Amino acid sequence: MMRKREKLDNILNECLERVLLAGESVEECLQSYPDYAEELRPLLDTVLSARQVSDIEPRAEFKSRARYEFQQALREKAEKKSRGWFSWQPAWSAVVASIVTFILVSGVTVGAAGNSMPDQPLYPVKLATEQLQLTITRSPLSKAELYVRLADKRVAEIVYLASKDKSEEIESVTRRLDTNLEKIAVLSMAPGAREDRGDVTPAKPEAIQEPPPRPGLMLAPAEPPEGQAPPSEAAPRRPALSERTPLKAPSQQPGSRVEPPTEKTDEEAISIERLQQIKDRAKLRAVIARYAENHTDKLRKALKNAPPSVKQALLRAIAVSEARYKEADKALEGEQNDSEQVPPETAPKRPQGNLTPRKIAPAPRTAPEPTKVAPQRPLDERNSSPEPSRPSRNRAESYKPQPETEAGVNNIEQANDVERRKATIVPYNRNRSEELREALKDAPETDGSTGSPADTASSKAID
Amino acid sequence: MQDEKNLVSRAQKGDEVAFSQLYEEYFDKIYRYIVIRMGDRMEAEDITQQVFLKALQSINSFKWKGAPFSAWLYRIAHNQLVDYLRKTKRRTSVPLDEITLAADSDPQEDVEKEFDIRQLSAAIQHLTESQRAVISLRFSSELPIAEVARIMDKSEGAIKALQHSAVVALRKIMVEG
Repeated sequence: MMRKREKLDNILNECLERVLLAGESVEECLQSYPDYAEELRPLLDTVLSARQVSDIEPRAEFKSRARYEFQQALREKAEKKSRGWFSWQPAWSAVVASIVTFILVSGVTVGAAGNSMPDQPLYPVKLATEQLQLTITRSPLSKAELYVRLADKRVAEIVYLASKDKSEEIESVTRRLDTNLEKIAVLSMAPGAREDRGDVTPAKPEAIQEPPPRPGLMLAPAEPPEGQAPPSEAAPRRPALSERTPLKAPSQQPGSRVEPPTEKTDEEAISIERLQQIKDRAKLRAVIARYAENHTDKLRKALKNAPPSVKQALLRAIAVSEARYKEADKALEGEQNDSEQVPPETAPKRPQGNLTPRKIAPAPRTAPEPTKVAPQRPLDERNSSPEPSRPSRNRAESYKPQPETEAGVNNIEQANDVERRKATIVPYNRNRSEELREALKDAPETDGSTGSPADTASSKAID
Repeated sequence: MQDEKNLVSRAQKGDEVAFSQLYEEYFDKIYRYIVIRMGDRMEAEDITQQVFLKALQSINSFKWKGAPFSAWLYRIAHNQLVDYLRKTKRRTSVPLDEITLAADSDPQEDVEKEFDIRQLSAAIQHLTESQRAVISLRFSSELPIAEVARIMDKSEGAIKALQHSAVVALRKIMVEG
């Protein structure tokens, strides 16, 4: 009986294998065991029915949801594992802890963060450190150089992200790169770039829409030789301090804080300062040129090896890098040329009083400082003379320096005692010259003869 | 088997791809096993997900001791089922009018299928625990007898006998209603 039962178990199992797995029909199987056919048939039919009913596929929507959730759980597990010993705490608290550690004591965290990448937990610390560096860097030129170095880090990050096939993060870092490089151009061009040379900060424009009459500012230039153009004409370029016409010193304003140093010392100081400025700009330009080439090479190399999904993002990064570097170089080129126009030692001296009227060049960056001196005229006469209203006047007057300073600007070409005023004149002169160049640029261009609107603007600005 | 061993070993080391492959291999089978035991698709879906999440959490506790990986996985499924049934204190599925249908399916077909599933499930509920397991593993998950034997930790002969008795009992229940 036991044997028969076992035999039947085996025959049923064999038939099930043949029917369910091998795809045979019930009849085929029963033909192999005709003695058991009557007993086997209902059992096989039951199994087939049960199998048919239980042939269930999970709903597609459930399957995809379950798969997604499972993948998420997989990722979370992997992240936990990678976070190691501090996996017990949320990711944000790790970042906060790192920042606090950085601020309070540890240079270790900052060091580690310095090499972190955008997909790593310490990356925010890296950005915070960079921001701190920018905050404590005062000089615009140094700041511009720092931005170049930060751009170098951004490029390294982009290359890294390209290797990780992370196009969204590349876009994000490219935006940071764009901002960094844009700042270089702005810092190179902006008048603020002169802060590192001790320039005075201009007063707010609204404070000087209606400047009070300052008769003391009407400086008396040397009488122009007969037959020569009055000194109110626009000069074609900014003369070097050493070539500027020594004129009669204006009267010292009461309460002036300017000490009268010796002429030789002051001239030298100004020359050194100007030279240093030129050097700094040349250095920055060289640094930018080097990084520009290096960055383009790196990004193009990354583009070659990158997966197709990130190529578009890399192309955008390359475009941003090239365009911004060009912009920065152009800005520095303009500034450098401007600076190089006035090397004190090399600029040829202009004959005293020989202010030949010349047409004003439209290019604002290379336009010379209009350090002309208007012939002294009675105040009422000047007020009554027709002068076209121009915004440049307001711009030129938008600074409200000490009368002493303004007088110094007017006289810098003429005054023999420039050394007595250098401390006030030099810083202001730079801002002032910028403004005057702007004024000249904005002025309508005429035939360049005496009394042209541009000349008048200059005169007024000088006033 | 060697491939599966390799996959499990990689999954234990944190290889996401390896674990995903194991998931794809067993997901439908585990689901069928559960849905036949439960008689309700929605509940079976929840439990199936829990089985794989549990497997993910405790993959490192799995050791090769002769039993295949599927035996470990089905044991998790079995434990999850028992827990679920104990918590809900029920043995049969929700009423037919509470069937949730897939939005893109034929309602009539779904209802008929669901009805069949529930009938089969209801019939299976009258079997012994071992018989239910054999029916589910053999005819829903389509596992070979040797594997079912390993999962249930019984001899192949014992499984064949269980299979026979389960089919006879099921036939009786279904014919008699």
